[in-house]
Amino acid sequence: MADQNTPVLAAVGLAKRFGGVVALRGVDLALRQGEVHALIGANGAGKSTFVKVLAGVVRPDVGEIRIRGRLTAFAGPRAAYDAGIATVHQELSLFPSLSVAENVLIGQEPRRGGLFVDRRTQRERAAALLDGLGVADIDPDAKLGELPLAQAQIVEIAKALSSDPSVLILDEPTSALSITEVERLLELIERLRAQGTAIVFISHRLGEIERIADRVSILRSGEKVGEFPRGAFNRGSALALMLGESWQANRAARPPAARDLSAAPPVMRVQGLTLHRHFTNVSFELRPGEVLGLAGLEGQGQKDVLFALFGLFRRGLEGTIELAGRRLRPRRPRQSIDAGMAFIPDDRKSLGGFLGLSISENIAITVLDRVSRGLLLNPAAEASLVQGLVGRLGIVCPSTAVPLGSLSGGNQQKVVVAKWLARPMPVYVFCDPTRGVDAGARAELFQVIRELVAAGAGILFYSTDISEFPALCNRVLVFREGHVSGTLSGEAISEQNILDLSFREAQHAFREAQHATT
Amino acid sequence: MPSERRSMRPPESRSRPRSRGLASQRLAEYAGPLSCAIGLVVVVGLYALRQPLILSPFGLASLANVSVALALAAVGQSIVLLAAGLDLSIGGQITLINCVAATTMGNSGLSIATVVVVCLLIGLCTGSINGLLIAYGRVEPLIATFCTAFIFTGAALIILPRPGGSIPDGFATALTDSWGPLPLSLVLLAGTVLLVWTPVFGSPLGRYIVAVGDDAESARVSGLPVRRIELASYMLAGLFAAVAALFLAAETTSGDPSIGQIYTMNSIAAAVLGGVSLSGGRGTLIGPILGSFVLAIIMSALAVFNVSAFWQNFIEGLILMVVLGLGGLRLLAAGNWLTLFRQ
Repeated sequence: MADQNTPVLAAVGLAKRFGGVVALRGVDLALRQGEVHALIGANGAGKSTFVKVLAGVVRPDVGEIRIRGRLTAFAGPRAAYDAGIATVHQELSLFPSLSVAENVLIGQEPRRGGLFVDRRTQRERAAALLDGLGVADIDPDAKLGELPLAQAQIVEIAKALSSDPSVLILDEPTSALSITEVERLLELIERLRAQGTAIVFISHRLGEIERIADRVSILRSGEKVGEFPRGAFNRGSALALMLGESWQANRAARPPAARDLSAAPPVMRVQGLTLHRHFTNVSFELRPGEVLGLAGLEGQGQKDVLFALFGLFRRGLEGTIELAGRRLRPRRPRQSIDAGMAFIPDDRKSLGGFLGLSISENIAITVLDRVSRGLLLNPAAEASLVQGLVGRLGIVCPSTAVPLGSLSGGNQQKVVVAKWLARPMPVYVFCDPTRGVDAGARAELFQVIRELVAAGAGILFYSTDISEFPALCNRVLVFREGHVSGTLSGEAISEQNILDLSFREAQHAFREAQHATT
Repeated sequence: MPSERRSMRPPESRSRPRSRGLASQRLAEYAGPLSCAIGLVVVVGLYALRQPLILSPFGLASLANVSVALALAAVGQSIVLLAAGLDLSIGGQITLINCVAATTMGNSGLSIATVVVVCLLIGLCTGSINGLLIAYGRVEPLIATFCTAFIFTGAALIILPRPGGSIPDGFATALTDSWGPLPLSLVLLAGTVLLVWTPVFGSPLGRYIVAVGDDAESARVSGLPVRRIELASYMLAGLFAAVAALFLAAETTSGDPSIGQIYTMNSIAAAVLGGVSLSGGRGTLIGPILGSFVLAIIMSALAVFNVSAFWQNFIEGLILMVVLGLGGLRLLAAGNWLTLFRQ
């Protein structure tokens, strides 16, 4: 039908926006038979959205998808699957209580007499698929929930291959795997490539990319900013492309780093903080008037550190935490709050905001005991407190009696911040506070953080947007696989340095493993 | 193509006015109570067409008397529902306390006041058993109160195997008579609300109950003592159940180990009719009270109109289905599937 040069899959000018956030701006990508096409980019560059568009999960606003030259529009994930595009998403889509064979062939069970599941054929076909992946040691009858994560990941791939797809999309398949498991997966990808499958491969680990990719595309802020053919890939220029020159120029006002903070005793001291499978041996000191950033790619443990400090993990936390001169062993948020820590979460819908309660009720919830007269609430005191904070943060609302859920994302976030300004704390934790927040609200949030700092509070700051660290932080800890891989301070805080620390350790680890195996 | 790119930039601020007007929001909040009030007028009007005596002081007192026990139970149920809980043992608690009152008030030598206090304390105890199981034992409210309902009813049967016991006349008339045109049962209802509901919902506790019901996870990260708040909501429900049980004892001047049965489902029905959300965080005080009156008066009218008892359940179910169905329609019009499922 089509000649050898026609791409198996071609995306032309794909664009997608979610509300006010543009996720993709006209991305082109051509995928050829027997080729591994790697996709890299910083957090929020649009990789996941792009994958979801190809997988039929998200419909693009503009642009077209061609399969072997034929224009195609996917009505849903099933349509993409039927068209020969199989996707392994970052989150596994398996059923822990079913067997491996049932999982692999879910939705396409072999039938007997048109009605009953033919268990023997099912098992044989699953075993054949697993065998083809070189993992004959996975028992098709085993319950999926009993397998280790790495094997479950392979089962997920077997499931994707069960329809014999011409395109396989792997969204960060290696992030949860150990080095030897990664090696096996890469061998598997090579074998599939040799069989003619076209593969989209997403990873944060440049070493893997150098090893396996025939072509590398780089995304930044939803745009494709570069493509390297095989052999032309260059780490330095790839990093520069991921960051973009405009970002460097665009930097907001630097924080007053000149101020000497070392004189004041730390308000918070963390030593050897460890939570198995989340992060290891994290130590830092936070001084009053300091913004300490916890940076790194997504899912490297930095967010878990903040969750642990706020008492969201119930057990397993090792190490010592000292807050305002007192030892803290946080097992529930109440303890951390009582010790003097406020927490502004990224997910204000499920953590922190009461969507059904009014703005006024939301803000006053932390200080009801202080706006009471005896046992009963004092509506006048409550109203004046709320009015003051609504004005200070510039919360836009028709009235403080409307439910929080009726406000825009940025204003909701401001209400959650206002809640904690009502009750001044020595330490504020901002956990990705600008997620889904527009530029204006972001600037106002930053202003609030600077005011808190000026008033002597210590701030822990995490964001998925790497450009926010240089604008705000005095010091930054960069996380990589649960460890602090480096500390930057003052002028050294730049997106370039943060990304460098985020990636570098990975390539070291990978090279060491390669040495070990050869 | 830089021009196209520029057009793709996000607008400076995201101003999608999703907020409805304040007036219509108030209206939505009171839609339940409002429709109950209209329903009440219609039901009493229809009743009066057939039986004009119902509008006399004596008739109004009898209407109040058939409704107050359910209203008390429904207000208790609503407190639990506001905190996103559920109490299937309200009927069991009413039965147990009713039987305790009937066996001790008449012929045990204890003063009436002592028995009343003991009964209220039992209500707090049964409520705290539910609360402890649910808040601290982490048992689902549905399951926990389903089990305790059997325990409470069973205990009642042990105390009073068949209807009997006695209630002093003084106590009975004090709760069921009229003072001029004013039925004393309404005074009891108003007094209980004034002494329990008003202080609770005028203090931080009431605000906390609604907050926990709206979003327990947010309540936890806001540092609220979520478990103690849940416990308190069940204890308050137990207290209201105790008052309802004492009123039923006065009304029937005896005890009955099956008297509470109907109040479990009817209290939920009345609360829902009155606009209390089953998923928590939304509801008023007046809604469940009006809902109870509508429901109780319809039931007693059916008896007066010679509708067979077999049909009464059928009709009650039909009413609920229509009301809940209408609520569902409103949701369908409002949201997408995701918000629909979340509600």
